[in-house]
Amino acid sequence: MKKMTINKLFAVSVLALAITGCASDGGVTEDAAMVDESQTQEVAASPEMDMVNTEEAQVSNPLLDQTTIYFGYDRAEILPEFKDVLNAHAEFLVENPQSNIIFEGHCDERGTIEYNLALGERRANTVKSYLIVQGVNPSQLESVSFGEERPASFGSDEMTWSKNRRAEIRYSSAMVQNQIGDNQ
Amino acid sequence: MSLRYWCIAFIFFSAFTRAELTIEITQGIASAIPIAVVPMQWQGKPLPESVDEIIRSDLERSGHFGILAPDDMLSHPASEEELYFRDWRLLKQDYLVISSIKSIAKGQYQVRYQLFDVFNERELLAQTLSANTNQLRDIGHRISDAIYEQLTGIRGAFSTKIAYVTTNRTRTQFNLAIADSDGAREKVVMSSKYSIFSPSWSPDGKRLAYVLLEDSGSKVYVQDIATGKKQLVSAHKGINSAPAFSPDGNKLALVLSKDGNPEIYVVDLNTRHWLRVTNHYAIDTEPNWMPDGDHLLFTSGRSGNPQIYRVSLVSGFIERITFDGNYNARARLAQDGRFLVMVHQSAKGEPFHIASMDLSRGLLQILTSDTFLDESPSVSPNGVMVMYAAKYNKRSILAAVSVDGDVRFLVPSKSGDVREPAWGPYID
Amino acid sequence: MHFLPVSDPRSFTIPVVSSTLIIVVVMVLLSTKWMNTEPMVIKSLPKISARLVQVKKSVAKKTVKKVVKKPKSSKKIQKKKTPQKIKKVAVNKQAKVAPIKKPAKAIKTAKPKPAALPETDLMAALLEEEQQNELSRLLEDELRAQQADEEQQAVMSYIGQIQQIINSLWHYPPSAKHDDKLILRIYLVPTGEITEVQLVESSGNAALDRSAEQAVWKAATLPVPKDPVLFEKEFRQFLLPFSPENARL
Repeated sequence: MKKMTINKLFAVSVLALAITGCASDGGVTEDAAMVDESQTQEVAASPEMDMVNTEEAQVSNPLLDQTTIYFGYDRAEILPEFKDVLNAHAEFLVENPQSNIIFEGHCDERGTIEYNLALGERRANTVKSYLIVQGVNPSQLESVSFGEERPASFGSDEMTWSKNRRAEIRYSSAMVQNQIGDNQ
Repeated sequence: MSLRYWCIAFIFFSAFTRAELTIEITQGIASAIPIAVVPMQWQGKPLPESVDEIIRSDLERSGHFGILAPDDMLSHPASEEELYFRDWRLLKQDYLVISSIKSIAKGQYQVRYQLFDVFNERELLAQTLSANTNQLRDIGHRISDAIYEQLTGIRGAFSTKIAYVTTNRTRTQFNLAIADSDGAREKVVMSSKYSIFSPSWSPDGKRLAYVLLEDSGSKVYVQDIATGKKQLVSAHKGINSAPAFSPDGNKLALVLSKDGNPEIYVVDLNTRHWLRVTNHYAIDTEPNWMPDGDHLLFTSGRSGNPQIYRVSLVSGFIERITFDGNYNARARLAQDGRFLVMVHQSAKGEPFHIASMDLSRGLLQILTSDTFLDESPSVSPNGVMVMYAAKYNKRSILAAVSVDGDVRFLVPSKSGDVREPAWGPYID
Repeated sequence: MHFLPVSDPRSFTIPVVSSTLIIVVVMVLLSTKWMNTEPMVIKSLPKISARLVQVKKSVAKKTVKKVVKKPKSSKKIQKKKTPQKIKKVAVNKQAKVAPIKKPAKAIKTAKPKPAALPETDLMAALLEEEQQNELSRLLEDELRAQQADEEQQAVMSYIGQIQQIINSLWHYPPSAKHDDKLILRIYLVPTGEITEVQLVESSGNAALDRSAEQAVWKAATLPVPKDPVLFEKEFRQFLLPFSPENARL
């Protein structure tokens, strides 16, 4: 996912440069230049920060494309590598109070079905709580658990299990869906 | 003078007022009882069911008997006159079953069988039963029950039913089904694209409670088996799952997370009165009633890892039961309440197996080893056998193991995965 | 008659107490009747002719008591060496040996013929004779204790063999529980052949009862002492409690 983000970043920055290059209108150029500047500034500061897409009126963050958070075995704590993704979603929700998210909690097949249903809910709730702490209105958030019943991949090995221990972020507002694209 | 003699006699007599010599025998070898079930005598077109084959399979699956294959028998007697006990003693059989079947009307049969003690050359049981064509399997199971009880003192459970869920590999279709305890005569009672799990029988065997995992979340239903009518019992916010019928059939214990985290509740199905049983921030789930109707066994993560606890519905007092191992869940009572069977993982990273715990001695023993990722243990109504789901050759299958022995068998299933067995009750 | 389980201490206390009472009664009767009669038992003294010069009566009494206890302590040593089940048998033996000793002693308290010597000499002679009697009594007791010990050991060795044989032949059903218990009584003839098996107490599990009976019949013949007296005493008939302690349930 990271690779994709960087590629996208690169593609957008090239596009932005091309646009500013092609612009003949002062106003547009100015705008573009401004946009370009801020863009390069942000790129210099941190490649993972919000990208600005000049084509659309609203901001979109490739991190928002990441809609799956993975967990350690039998754990429901958010791992540090997913904090940024969650922050991105949090920010988005704060800026878009009409958007709603449903968190789906999942587990790998080890352990009993019922205990895993509870564990899945814990994972979904942990993510939900995290977003609330980031300032999101709780009314925009829902959680549901599917336990081990809807695995992302089938198999009984470590690799498969690690892919199934997850919380899925599912946007339920129509407006948002146009921007974000397909959720995994 | 005579008094002297009397006194001496008295002394000798007193010398004999001691306890009789007693020699304790405390070690032996657990072994199956060797029994021969002779093929049933029958004249006519082949019957749709082999009753004697059903009896042999039943007794073998119980783990208590060693079954002599018909090919190894020296003779196939059908009546006492044709019987030579010496033959069977030579074959080292302790018991012998001979039987015959005859047609008494179209589609109506009469079955007669006799059970003999080979060593003492005595008849132990003799019965004549009648059945129609569709009941031949039932007759077989009834005979197995009678033989089993006669020889072990335990009531047989061969005539009972099991419920389970079948699903396709991609998990897009789920079926809740009921079959005979040997897997025969399967009948689907509910079909859905959503996952079905945790089936629970009502004590009268007429209803099944289960969880349906819809897109909006898990919900608990109770379905009447005969009519197929289903009733929504719980659809609160969050989890609604792990239903368990009380011994009197009037209440359902289940798990709700509407109050923040999974807790155990009991709902009266008649009054719809709800009682909250647990109140702890840890996961509390998988309630299971004890026969007195006043206690529940349940799984809780309150000590860090899932362990088994018992709660009194009267006093609210909670007691931890399991201390051995990293993960103990889904406990069920067995062997008349002397044992618990559960899903057990001895240490992190170890496989999940079915284990039995002797409640009087506190000993935990792992019952399964050929299968892995064992789950959902369900105990037969006579407390002897445990049926469970396991991964075997990349498929999920049903297997059974006896609490008192090492016998294991796999329930033959068609394609797809079979899971979540629930052993039905005695239906009188 | 219903026998208590061997591990129950009451199984030997009651016979000991009742035997003691009977012996006391008998001793009382004997002491009143036999003052003036000849001793009945002809002693066969060992060939020790040393004369005791000085023995304090109180010390002698203590020695007597010690002798009585010796066999018990030696039995205890044996108890530790041999398995638990034999210990219980030994406890029975204790109860049995004790009452036998006492009547023997009672008989021995009979005094020898009175001497017709001058008083001081008489006293000295009497004292000497008493001391000799004490000594012979001591020696007899020791001999008796030794014999009892040997007997005890012999019995225990047969018990051990019988246990081993039956343990190895006993195939109990998988439904057997570790705390199930049944009791058989078996009858033998002096060759060790089993002639009859009785179910004294059922375990409640017919298959388990049967498995025990079958184990016994499979054995057919058991090792028993050659000594007919010992055989009659212990092995003509005895109890076999079965308990599958190594069962899974």
